[in-house]
Amino acid sequence: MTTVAQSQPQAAPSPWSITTRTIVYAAIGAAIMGFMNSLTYGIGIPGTEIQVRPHYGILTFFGFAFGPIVGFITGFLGGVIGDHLTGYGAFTAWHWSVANGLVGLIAGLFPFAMASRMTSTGSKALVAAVAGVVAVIIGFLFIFIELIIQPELGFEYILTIEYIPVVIANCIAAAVVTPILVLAWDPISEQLGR
Amino acid sequence: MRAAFRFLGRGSWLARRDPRVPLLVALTYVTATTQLRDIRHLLVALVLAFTYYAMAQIPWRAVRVQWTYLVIVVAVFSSLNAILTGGGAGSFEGEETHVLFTLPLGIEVTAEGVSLAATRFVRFLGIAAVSFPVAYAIAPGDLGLALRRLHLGDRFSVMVDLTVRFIPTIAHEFSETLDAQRVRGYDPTARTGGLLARVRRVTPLFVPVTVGSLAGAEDTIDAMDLRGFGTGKRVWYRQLHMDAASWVVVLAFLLFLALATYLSLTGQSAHYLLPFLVT
Amino acid sequence: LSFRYQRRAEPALRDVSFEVAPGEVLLVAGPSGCGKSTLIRALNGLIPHSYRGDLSGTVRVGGLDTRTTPLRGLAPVVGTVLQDPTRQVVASTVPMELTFGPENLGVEREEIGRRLARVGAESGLEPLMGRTTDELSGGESQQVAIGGSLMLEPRLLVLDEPLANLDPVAASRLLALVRRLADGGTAVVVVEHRIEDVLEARPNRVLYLEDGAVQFLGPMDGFLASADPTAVKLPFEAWLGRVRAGELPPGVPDADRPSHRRNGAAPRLEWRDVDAGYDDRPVLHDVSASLGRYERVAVLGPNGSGKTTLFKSAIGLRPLTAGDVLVDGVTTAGQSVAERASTFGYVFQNPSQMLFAPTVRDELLFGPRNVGRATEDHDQIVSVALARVGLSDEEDGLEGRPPRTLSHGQQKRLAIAVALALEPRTLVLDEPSAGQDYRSATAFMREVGRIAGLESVYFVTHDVDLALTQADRIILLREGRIAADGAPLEVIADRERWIACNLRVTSLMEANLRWGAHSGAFLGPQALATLAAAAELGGGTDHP
Ligand SMILES: Nc1ncnc2c1ncn2[C@@H]1O[C@H](COP(=O)(O)OP(=O)(O)OP(=O)(O)O)[C@@H](O)[C@H]1O
Ligand SMILES: Nc1ncnc2c1ncn2[C@@H]1O[C@H](COP(=O)(O)OP(=O)(O)OP(=O)(O)O)[C@@H](O)[C@H]1O
Ligand SMILES: [Mg+2]
Ligand SMILES: [Mg+2]
Repeated sequence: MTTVAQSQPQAAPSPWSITTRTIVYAAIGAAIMGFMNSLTYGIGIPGTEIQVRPHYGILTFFGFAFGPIVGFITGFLGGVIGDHLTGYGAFTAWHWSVANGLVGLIAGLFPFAMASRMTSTGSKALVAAVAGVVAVIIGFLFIFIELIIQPELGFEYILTIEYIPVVIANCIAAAVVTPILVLAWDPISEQLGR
Repeated sequence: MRAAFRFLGRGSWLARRDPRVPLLVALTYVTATTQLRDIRHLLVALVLAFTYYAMAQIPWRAVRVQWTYLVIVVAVFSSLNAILTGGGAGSFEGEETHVLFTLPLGIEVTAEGVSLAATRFVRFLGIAAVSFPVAYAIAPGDLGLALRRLHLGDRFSVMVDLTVRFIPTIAHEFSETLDAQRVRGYDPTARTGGLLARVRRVTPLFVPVTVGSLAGAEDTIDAMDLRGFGTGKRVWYRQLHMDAASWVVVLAFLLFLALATYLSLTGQSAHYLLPFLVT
Repeated sequence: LSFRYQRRAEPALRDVSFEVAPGEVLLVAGPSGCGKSTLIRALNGLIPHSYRGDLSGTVRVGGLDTRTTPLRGLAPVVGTVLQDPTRQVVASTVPMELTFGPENLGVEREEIGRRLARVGAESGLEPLMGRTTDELSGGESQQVAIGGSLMLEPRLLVLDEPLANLDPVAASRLLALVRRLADGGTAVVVVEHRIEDVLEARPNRVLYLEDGAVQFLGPMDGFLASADPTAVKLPFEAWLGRVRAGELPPGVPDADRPSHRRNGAAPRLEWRDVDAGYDDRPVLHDVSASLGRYERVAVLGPNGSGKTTLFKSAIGLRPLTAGDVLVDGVTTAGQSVAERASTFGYVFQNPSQMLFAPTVRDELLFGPRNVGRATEDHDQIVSVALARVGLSDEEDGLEGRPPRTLSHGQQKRLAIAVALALEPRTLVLDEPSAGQDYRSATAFMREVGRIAGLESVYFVTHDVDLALTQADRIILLREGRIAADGAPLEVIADRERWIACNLRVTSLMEANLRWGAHSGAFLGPQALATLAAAAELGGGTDHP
């Protein structure tokens, strides 16, 4: 008697299908990112002004482990809620929240593209680190929308003052934290039994 | 660890309006001011934004901290722009830039740079003023309903409501985990070790909060499936009604958006050099 | 009905057959892991629609076959209330939580309105209607979760360990509701370890599972007569019956009660006029108490009375707003949490919350590494800690497994081993019996009392009999104030104060007051039954 499963523990069968699990995981991801974004806590890179915010590794983990939809909502909604809770105003930096969403979305596409390379938990963690870094690099390109909405800044400023520091900081966060979370989550999700 | 959407605007004039109003106002204001360049237009917009903000009657002492943080952050960023972008890469036609003074590192602070920074500062302040009511003047639970009535779909609306529901739970689990690890001699803010070691130091906090919530989600998923979530046509019990006053506010901002778009498309909202800087 | 989870070799349910008639309350009991929650998933359709595996046999609810009817079709027939109510509540406000079910099923608006009024009145939810769900206590969340299920007007209501974290007053309110629903024609299945606590709902029949198979299915009194009292929490009369019939060996009072020996030393932990709380809420008011170095102390009191805050303020996790805390007679002002951790091992209310390390070994060594224990001691620390909580013999290779893949009971023991790894002299346990069945809870507490090198154990609990039998001293807390502080028999003598602290008067308490008063200590059921049986043989019930 074949039993049709309504929800899968691993990434949904196709990246764009939405089940109750997708909704709940996206809500948890957005709540965690929203809360963590509101904590003004960063680790300075010695010799620079750049502050690494480790919880960006959680964003790329949610995308990588649960797919592009969960990734995008975790990033975007997390950004909007984080900006509100810190007092920066929910939509004051709406384009940064969209960029966060794209980071999560891109991280979510990797497992579907590189399924063959992810045989063991270890290889999955490695792919997760790569996925996180690439997702950050590509996702934050969206910041260059400022060329349209705030042209007075100029390409030079957006690149050196906004894009590069954020990418460096978040690549470190993604490369370090995402694999740790994948290694912690993988054995448990095996055990979920559905 | 008070982290939640506190309904500070409870009972205010705006809170009694349809919960879609703050969402529509924020959307139109952001779209409009993004198109405006002229600081004089943005100052008018700022007046509109703050009269709207006053309708939410958010008690000042409850948001004093947020506003001071906001003003400092926006001021710092704007002044940083002013110094580093110099003339603003050709935002002003014609004449050469007017150097006000030069900083020790040879960086020129120009009148154009300063007025650009002021423009950005006024724009951000206005956007913040219309963003606060989205969080503080919509009653708990109305946010999902408002999104649904704006035709953003059942599942997305329920998900947003679920996210708002989870924030205090996550905050509580974070503080419980921190307590549990501190008893084991853990100090997340310790400055010892290299950069990577310090980033890895968050593991005892991040893993329990993230993995713990995900493991616990099984019950939430079952609870929603058992009550038929996402299995067909959904009804929303409470109805929303845009009363006349709500329409007035929304139409005012739509009008403002139309005006801003017109000004911007016809090029009448270019950067305006603050005269008192150059005379 | 039989079912095997996809990744499990052993079936979780083997050949289970039973019926539940409308208006009947069926109690499902059995040790941890015997298949109770799996049975419930088979009733409400999560098996097979959400949980994959080998399912054989049929389940019909309200005439519908759960295999062929989708969850949307089963939702208006079977309502389920899960063990942790806070995870079941999904909306931000109470009214939205209640209307969530009917809304999903597309029930039209007027009907939802009618149901909201009716369920609100019947299950006493009016006072909560204006509340947001994050402000609700555990008991209130459960009331709302039950309301959420009742809004679908189910013909069968299923509750999975509803009494787990309720204080007795909230528990009897729930059981009264269960009985009212049954009398109104709804069939009710209640899963619960603590049989005695469920008797209030007058269950019609009992289904006792062991390892997935039905051991007993029949009326309550038949079950009480045949069940093994050491496995399941039965009323005292059952113990007396067994001892009288010679089915149980005579019990001897716990000999090794250290109670007042060598207590001359300074008290291990002392509060002096302590006030403490959370930023917007003072909790402890002018608390003064001193706990002995070799004592076993139980702290009881209603939900939210400040029991957890009491110990969090003692070890420095909550700052004192007034007063002082002394450890071994020395003030703790200025001491870090880690410094106090060398004296107190603290196990939290939700023990698995802190587990993060990749392996059990790393989890145990996290504390010692932070306080700088030498690496050559590491192997010894791990083996001793695991041995003390009885985890080392359970299965080899446990050290290398990820902590969160252990069973619920194993995670609880690991949490204690983690606390013991810092070699504390006193262990503080917050709700040690929560989520455990009766046999493992009592065995657990008895073993903890005998851990080598541990001088004292202080624990917080809602389980009245566990506190009275396992502690030398009882502290009652109510609204952040000490309501009573003394030996078990002294504290239970004042009945009004006991009930005012939302505590239940159990059959074991009544029996101790009647037969055990002269023995000077609060006796466990087996020892007391032996005493009572002997007293009856000797003619007078209060024979000295
Ligand atoms: N989701 C799951 N996937 C795989 N196996 C499971 C799952 N849930 C339970 N099991 C296994 O099935 C058996 C029965 O578990 P179940 O939770 O039904 O017992 P229980 O009586 O409810 O336990 P408890 O009293 O601790 O709640 C156990 O061996 C358990 O490990
Ligand atoms: N982290 C927190 N933030 C704010 N208030 C809290 C927090 N933790 C507890 N409280 C409040 O402090 C009071 C006492 O809480 P505490 O947990 O000490 O009670 P308790 O006796 O342990 O309850 P329970 O039996 O449910 O565990 C309660 O009203 C609770 O709502
Ligand atoms: Mg169970
Ligand atoms: Mg407590």
